Amino acid sequence: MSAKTAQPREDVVATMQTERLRALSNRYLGLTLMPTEACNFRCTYCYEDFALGRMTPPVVRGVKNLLAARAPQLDTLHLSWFGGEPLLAVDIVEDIQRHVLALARENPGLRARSSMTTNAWRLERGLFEQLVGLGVNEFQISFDGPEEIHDQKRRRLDGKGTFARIWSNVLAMRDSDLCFRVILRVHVDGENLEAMFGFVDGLKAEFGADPRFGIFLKPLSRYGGPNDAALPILRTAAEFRRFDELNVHAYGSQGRDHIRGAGGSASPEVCYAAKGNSHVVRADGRLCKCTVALEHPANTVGRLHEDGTVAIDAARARPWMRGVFSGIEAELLCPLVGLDAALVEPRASA
Amino acid sequence: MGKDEFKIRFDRHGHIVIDDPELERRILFLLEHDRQLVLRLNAEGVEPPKTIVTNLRGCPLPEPTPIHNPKGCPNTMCDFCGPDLKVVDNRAFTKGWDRLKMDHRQSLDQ
Repeated sequence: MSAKTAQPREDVVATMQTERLRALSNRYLGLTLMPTEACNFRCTYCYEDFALGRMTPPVVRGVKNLLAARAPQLDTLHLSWFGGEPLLAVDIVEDIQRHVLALARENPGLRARSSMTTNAWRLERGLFEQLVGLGVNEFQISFDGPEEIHDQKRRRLDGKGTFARIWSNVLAMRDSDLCFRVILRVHVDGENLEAMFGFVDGLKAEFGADPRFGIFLKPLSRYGGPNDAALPILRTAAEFRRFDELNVHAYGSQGRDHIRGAGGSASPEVCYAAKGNSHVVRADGRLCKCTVALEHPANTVGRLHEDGTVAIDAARARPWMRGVFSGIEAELLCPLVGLDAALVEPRASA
Repeated sequence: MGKDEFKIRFDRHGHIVIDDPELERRILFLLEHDRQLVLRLNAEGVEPPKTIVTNLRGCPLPEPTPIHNPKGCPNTMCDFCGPDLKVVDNRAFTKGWDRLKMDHRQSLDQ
């Protein structure tokens, strides 16, 4: 998959791996939904501008109408709740999830799964159980290290810390008997790197015996936020070697993929932004490809209408999907990387 | 990829339309056979590794894992496992799954 060579078209199809083919399947639909783009946190590294608030009622109706139109032909529907902080608009989550449960009852062949990226501030026991009952049972929750470090980086809108409440909520999830999956995403930077060894020990002590929990160590990145220049991202070879040591410390001989668990696949991962059958629905109804480069001029590829129909400009979507056609792993993993070059020098049909 | 890249567009419900009937037929053929293989393997009680397909009805617990309700939740509390709960050690199965799919793809190409 490394060489970008022209191949006869049939050979290209024949050598496409299943995961790439699935990115073109109309039996799958992935929607990343932003029920609000507001957030009660102001993490120091955040790239979002919070300019849009709640998803408007016509957009909510548009989502439900689109799902109703597509459900009979779908094998799999994957809703990813994102934001902002999605639990600030939990009524919208509940409304759409109830609609999905009804569609699943009407269409026995439909497998619906729903995940949520949440800061977990509001994810107390009662709401957590409600969400699982509605079919939202995969969660990604972030930490920035032990409490004294986390609270400096992952702060509330009023500047106060957040660790204690998040930690309490996650422990309550662990103590439940429900079936769910949590990825504990841990941001690692040059300031917290050494402290992470002890923090990971704490995570393993609390969650290591519970296969519902996985740890994802993520180097802090600059995604375009106002504080990007000041972020202490990992820079030196020594820091990255230490990060490798942290990975071994965290995952041991089991290997990273096993610990990450949810979403794991034997095939190379294909980012949702690279798939033709996956879209981000913003609170105002814009259809985008990527949740990181939200305001990138090429990110908006279409619009969702209230009646559930969509207008998607294929010419704008194709550069994001170029990895599906090329098979180049980097373009599948993150089509945002190199996107500007792809826009400047589009391939023949893009 | 140049001229070999697919021409695609989207219809009003977001379906992907490949503007090359023969190419679309070929892709749909492969996708359908992949789907049928998954269904057949599931009918035989064989599940794919990690990626959960049908008979667990969306249980998100990671695989390989020896049992899908490690906390012992009763079936009545779990919409996912319920009566379809299966005990599968997929570690032994992963290689078999990959081999089956490879064999299947090769048979399609002959």
